[in-house]
Amino acid sequence: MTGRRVLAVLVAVLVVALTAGCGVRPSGVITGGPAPTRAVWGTVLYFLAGSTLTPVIRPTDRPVPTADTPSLPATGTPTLPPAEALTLLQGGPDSEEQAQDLTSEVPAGLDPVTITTDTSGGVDVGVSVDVTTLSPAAVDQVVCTVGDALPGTATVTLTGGAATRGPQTCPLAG
Amino acid sequence: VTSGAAGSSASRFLNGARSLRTRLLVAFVLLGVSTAVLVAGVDYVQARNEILQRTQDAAVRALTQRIDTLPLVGAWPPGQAELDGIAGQLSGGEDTAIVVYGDRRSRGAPGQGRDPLPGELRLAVREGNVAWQRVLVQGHPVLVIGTQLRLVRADRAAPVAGLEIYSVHGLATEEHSIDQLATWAWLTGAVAVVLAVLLALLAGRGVLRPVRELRRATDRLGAGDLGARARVHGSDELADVARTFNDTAATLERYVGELRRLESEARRFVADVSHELRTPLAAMIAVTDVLDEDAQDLPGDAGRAARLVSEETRKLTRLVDDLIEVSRFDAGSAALALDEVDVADAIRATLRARGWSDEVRTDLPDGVLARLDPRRLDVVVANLVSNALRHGGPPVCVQMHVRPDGLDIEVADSGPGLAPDVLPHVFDRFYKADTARARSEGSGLGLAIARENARLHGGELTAANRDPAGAAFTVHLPRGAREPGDPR
Repeated sequence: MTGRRVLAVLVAVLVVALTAGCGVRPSGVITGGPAPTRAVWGTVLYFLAGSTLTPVIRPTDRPVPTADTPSLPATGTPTLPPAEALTLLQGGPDSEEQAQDLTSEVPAGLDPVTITTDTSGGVDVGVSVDVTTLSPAAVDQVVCTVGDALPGTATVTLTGGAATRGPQTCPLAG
Repeated sequence: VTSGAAGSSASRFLNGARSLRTRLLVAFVLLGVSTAVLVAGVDYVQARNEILQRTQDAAVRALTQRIDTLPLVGAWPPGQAELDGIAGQLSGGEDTAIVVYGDRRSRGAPGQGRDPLPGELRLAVREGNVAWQRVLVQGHPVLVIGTQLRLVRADRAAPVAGLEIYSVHGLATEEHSIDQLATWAWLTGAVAVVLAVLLALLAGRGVLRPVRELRRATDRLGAGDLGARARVHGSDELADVARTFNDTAATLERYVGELRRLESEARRFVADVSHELRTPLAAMIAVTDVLDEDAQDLPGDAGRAARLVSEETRKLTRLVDDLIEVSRFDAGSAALALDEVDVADAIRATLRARGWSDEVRTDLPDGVLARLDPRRLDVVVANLVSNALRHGGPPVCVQMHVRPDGLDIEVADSGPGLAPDVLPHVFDRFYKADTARARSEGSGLGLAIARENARLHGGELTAANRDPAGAAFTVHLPRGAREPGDPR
């Protein structure tokens, strides 16, 4: 290696070290651990923001942490049963939710509702209206709300008026 | 090293840094700078990364702790007021929080119109991890930490919904600390360079002093001082060089001394031999004088032999006289016996005494007086004229010119002149211009003696060819020859 080449390398190292190394430089994205989670206590209904399914939480009575159970109980009934959830869904968004431009396409008059579950996680929801009259968005709202209220749900089938919709899964799941 | 243009320019660079001192200085400074840059630079980078990493980790920990202590979310989805409320609770100190839900976000976010949240960070946050990134906001570095706050129900694994929470953490304090680190690094580098220069000068002095002494000794030796020696310091490579130099100088001195001794012995031998020959020669001359008288009475071969013996004896006497004369010059014992002389008279007397007055034309201005050794002037003129008569062609002409700095006596002939290869050797002892002629009338020392005599007067004898033909020998004598030991 000639002296000139050594010199060039040396100068290059110096220049790089002096120009690139100073101060606090911007960095790339550094990824840490998983995001924190927060337990919620309530019934989840699905309304529409425009045409997008959006979860809405209706708080239920929260068990207050006691001396015996300082943290939230993992068991119990954090959510209303699916039939009651569907009742809330038919009620549509409340005033606060309406203020956030949430709408519902689920008509009132689905009740009475029958919920039957088979062993493979398929849920059959019997309603009192002709399911063919329901819009696809309304079916999604019902499927997601039922699926959310009933742990272990794989697919939901709507039955009513001698017709069925589904079985299908909530598009937001997963 | 010298291959191609790069190599030659490299050697040019090294030659440009001519002196050893400069090269040492450059090498030391380069070494100092590169070491300082490496050490200080690596330290600086390490410390900076450590500071930044600690700060970042602490900020991330603080943010997740604050998120953990947030009051539980009530109704969902959150309204604008709730987003603002959460952001307010998470902000504080150097941190400003931005809470994003869908396409809504909390108000009062910094950045003044420009989104401080980098797109790639938002992508990473949506993957479900805590992520952070340093960005420049209006030229100032900030740390943006982002995370989702995922809502899960107590009995479910899959999250129901989530918020994105970002915290913009100013890094002004860290920037200040790191700038101070940089200042210290620069100072360290500067001190290192100064130290390098001092060390280079010190090392340069240590190396260069023996080199300088060696050069001085070499110069003295080159100027003829065979006693010159270099001082030997220590036992390094330079000391080896000095020792070798001293050995060489000692050997040289010994050989030169030996040669001088041999030469002076040889000269003394010639002088001794010449002196020893003188006495028998004097006797032989006396005998040949008698023989000469009777030679014409002797018949045939006996007469020729007698004449030959007489002639050769006279030549031998002349040779021995010349040898003794040369020996005196060599021994430095030749002395001037100065006298006020009319030069023209002296030259004419010389010619007359040798019987050459008819053969030699003269052009001698009268009345030129000079302080000369008349005997030596006689020898010079006689030798030159006899040489011209023997080897040159007639007419032979003796001229004298008075110059401002002395006088020139020119003895010119009209013969073939001197061949160019003869000219430089014409004053050498026993030099025979005509090798075909084995024996000549002269001793072979005449011109050498003439020149020594001229030099003894502080003058010079030169030989040249004349135009159109003939050789000219010119004796230049300075006006008023110096007495030996009389610097005038």
